[in-house]
Amino acid sequence: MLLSWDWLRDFVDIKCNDIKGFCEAMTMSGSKVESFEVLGQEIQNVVVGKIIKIKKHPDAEKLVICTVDIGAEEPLQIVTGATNVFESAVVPVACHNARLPGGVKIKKTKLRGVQSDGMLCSLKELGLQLCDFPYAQEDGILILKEDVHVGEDILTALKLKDIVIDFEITSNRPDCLSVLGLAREAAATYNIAIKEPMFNVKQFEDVKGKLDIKEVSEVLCKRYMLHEISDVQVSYSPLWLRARLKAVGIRPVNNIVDITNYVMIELGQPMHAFDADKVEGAICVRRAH
Amino acid sequence: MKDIIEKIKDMAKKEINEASNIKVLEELRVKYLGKKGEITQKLKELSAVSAEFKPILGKLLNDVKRDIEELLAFQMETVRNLAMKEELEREKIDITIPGKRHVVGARHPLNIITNEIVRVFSSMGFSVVAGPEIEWEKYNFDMLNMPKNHPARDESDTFFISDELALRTQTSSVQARYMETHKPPIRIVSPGRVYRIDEIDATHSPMFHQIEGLIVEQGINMGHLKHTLDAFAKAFYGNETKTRFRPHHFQFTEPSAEMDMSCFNCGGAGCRVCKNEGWIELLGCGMVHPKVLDMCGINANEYTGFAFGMGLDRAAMQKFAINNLKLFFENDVRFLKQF
Ligand SMILES: [Zn+2]
Repeated sequence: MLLSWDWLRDFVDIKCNDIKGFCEAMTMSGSKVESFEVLGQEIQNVVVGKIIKIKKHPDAEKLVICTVDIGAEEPLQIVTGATNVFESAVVPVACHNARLPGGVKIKKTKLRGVQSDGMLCSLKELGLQLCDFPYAQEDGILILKEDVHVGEDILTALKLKDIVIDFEITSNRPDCLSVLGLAREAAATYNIAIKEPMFNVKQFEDVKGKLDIKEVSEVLCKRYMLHEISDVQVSYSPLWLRARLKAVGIRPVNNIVDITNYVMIELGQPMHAFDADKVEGAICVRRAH
Repeated sequence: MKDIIEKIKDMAKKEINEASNIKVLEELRVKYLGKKGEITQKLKELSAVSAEFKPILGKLLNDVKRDIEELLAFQMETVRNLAMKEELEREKIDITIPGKRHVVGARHPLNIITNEIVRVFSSMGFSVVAGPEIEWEKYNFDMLNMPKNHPARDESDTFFISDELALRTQTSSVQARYMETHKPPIRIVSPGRVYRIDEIDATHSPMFHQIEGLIVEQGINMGHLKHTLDAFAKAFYGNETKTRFRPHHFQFTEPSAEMDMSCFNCGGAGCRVCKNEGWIELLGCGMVHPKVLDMCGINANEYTGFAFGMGLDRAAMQKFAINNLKLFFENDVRFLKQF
């Protein structure tokens, strides 16, 4: 079970700066930590920038010179070959002495005689995939649509900073297969309070007639519930949600799939979204074989 | 008569000279000199001879007798010498041929580890018992509190032979077998091979080795468990070894724990052997589940016990700094002779 430290902190206020100590404490209280990984360590000195001005490179047809505001006194001058940049675009900027995944170092340089103070980054250069930023152009510079601030560290802006802890959960503790479950363990381990999630459930409309359930095997499934959500626009999920799924090893797909996965990881409650338009007849819960 | 005696003498000489082995010579001695031998007969006949010829014939006979005796003795000696010579010839040793080297075998590293562990537990009063590798489902699962359809059964990892027979997946099966047929106090260890469906790689094999331990007595508690296993770790890995017990879960023990030991390589500071943790997982253990005692016919209200199980392959790999499990099973002499 992979646990995001950031996510865990929604439920417990652990004042622990020592991740090794946390892992040790959890292990000794019965939730064995196999390993942990500090995310974002490979990226250094990359910030959010805004392209103020683009002009042609005097000696290279395929290159352009961008003036990029990174919140510093002086804007940077960066030469790029990307074709998807435009003035006012918000982009990740690897500054002088930046580090990128794969051990790449970025330094000030001259490109065809023109000074370039850094590099505008693509998804791949930041170690990201298209599913992490579904709106991005895969082979171009990552043009950010998120609510980010110029000059902000890219790790914070894109929520790439987290610690992922891998727990070995024994078969007698399926209740620990969720963020909330592990939060309870952490709260007990540190003898601190847990912020249980508040469910503000309104009376829902009855789905009978629209979707029906039949043949639910009570041995296999004690309770099966359906709820209808209408007026849904299928799109990508917000950054914070995508980042958390990504951290625990789940590939973001779209807002519908992502939210069912998110709730399952958070509360341990498995759920699935159906497209009501495509369901014919009643839903049936039985063995597959 | 003189002629006859001369004939006998010539005949005897001829036969004796032609005799090539001791047995024939012996027969000839009887033939001529025995109680009913030809010479003996003639000596008896002397009494009937006239006094005139008696001394002459008597002397002749005695001379012939002596000649035959001498000849027999001589021929006997010759034949013996010949036989000895032949025998010596046959057994002749060429001391210049280089000697054949007898290669001395070595113990397999897994056996070394197993024997060392068994020796430690023997010194604490445990006896060694064995169990079959082809095991009834009931001993491998049911009587260890893993009833049918229980998720802990891991049937997908099990090599089934029939509906009820499988290759044992753990040496714990010996626990159930032993408790069923023996009354407490019980104090046993049982090393052996176990089988689980797995791909072969540097750290995994479908056949591997475990050692199981079990104590059932009146008044056994978790303190006994901790002391016994801590003492084992110190005896096996050295007196400076520290241990810690982490809560864990096994179907057949409650409560259950895993025991880690301080890294024998770095002493707990963190290194490659312990993946920087300072601790190395050594074994699983716990107090025998009352249900297991009951199923084996032992009154759980009267008796308690603890059990433990340890993987031998990884222990041997760590102890001998071997990085590939496959080496244990390939039986390459170049590898084996290093131990
Ligand atoms: Zn170490």
